[in-house]
Amino acid sequence: MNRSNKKYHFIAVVFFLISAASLWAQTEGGRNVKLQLAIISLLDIEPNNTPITLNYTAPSEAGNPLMSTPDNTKWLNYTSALRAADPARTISAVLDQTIAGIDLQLLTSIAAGGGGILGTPDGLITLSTAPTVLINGIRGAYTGDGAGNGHQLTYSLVINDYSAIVSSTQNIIVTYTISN
Amino acid sequence: MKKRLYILCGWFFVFGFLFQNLNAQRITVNGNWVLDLRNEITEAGSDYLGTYSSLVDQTKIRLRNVGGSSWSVSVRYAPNNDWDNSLILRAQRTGPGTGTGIISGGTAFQTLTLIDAVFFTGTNNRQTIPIQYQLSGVSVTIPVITSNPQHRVRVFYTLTAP
Repeated sequence: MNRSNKKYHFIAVVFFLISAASLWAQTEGGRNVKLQLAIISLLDIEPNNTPITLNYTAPSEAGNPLMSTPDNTKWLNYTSALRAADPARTISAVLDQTIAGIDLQLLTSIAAGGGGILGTPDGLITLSTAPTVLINGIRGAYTGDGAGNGHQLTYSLVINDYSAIVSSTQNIIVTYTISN
Repeated sequence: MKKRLYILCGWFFVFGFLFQNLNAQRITVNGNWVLDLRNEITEAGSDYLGTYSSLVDQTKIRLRNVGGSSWSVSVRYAPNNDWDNSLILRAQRTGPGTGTGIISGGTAFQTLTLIDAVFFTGTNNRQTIPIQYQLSGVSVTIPVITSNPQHRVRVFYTLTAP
């Protein structure tokens, strides 16, 4: 190695040390904060899942129709969390059986309480053994928990064929599903 | 003789740098915070609590070679693309750590922004300065990220000393 090469080597070592010095001195440090959220679709009926009773009473005056009082004691609560690219969610209802001569109708109210992009009710629908959408357009949202929060449900009976009606007691299960 | 003088000067230069390196001001930050809320909501109709706090010593900071004069530590954050703007991150100093000198400021939650802001100040070296985080604005209304790194920010602490 000639004298000139030694000189260059020495200069290289000095530059290396200068670089090392800048790495050694550390005036900034960083740490991560990370938030993990889940996709959520929860649905329930409040204040409970106990049955409601809808009765037809005989009219007291000949010629008058059968009368039934609607029930609005149940509320639909849900929590929905989804990805930005996911489609909006819907809630549908389906019956396990129908009643001869009588329709079971459901009126879903606009949501009370909660936050986010809550669903839009489809108004009055007639329930059947095929799923029927009653609320659509749900994105990231929560209704609040308990009766008085979410969508109030009003069940009513409507006679569609008097000739098919028979005096009986019939238990019907309404199943709600939230999906996207 | 001249050659030896060059070599001596060279080594003097090298050791000078090493000495300077060993005495360079240095901040060391340890401790990430992962807030896992994936099993938090079990009741339909509920939202997240909204505000969550980390351990009081989630992050620990060590300051070395700052000498006897005053120093300051500033803080900022750098969110990744999936960080939701409705989330608010705060930090506070929950204790003095150990060491000589004094330390002051930073004992109330300070909202972090993209720009460095003075967090706390002091004198002399200090170790295990405890930092607690608080995250608010957590809601199901925030779009979920299921792929890594999910919602993440990097919190930067900067040491400034003469």
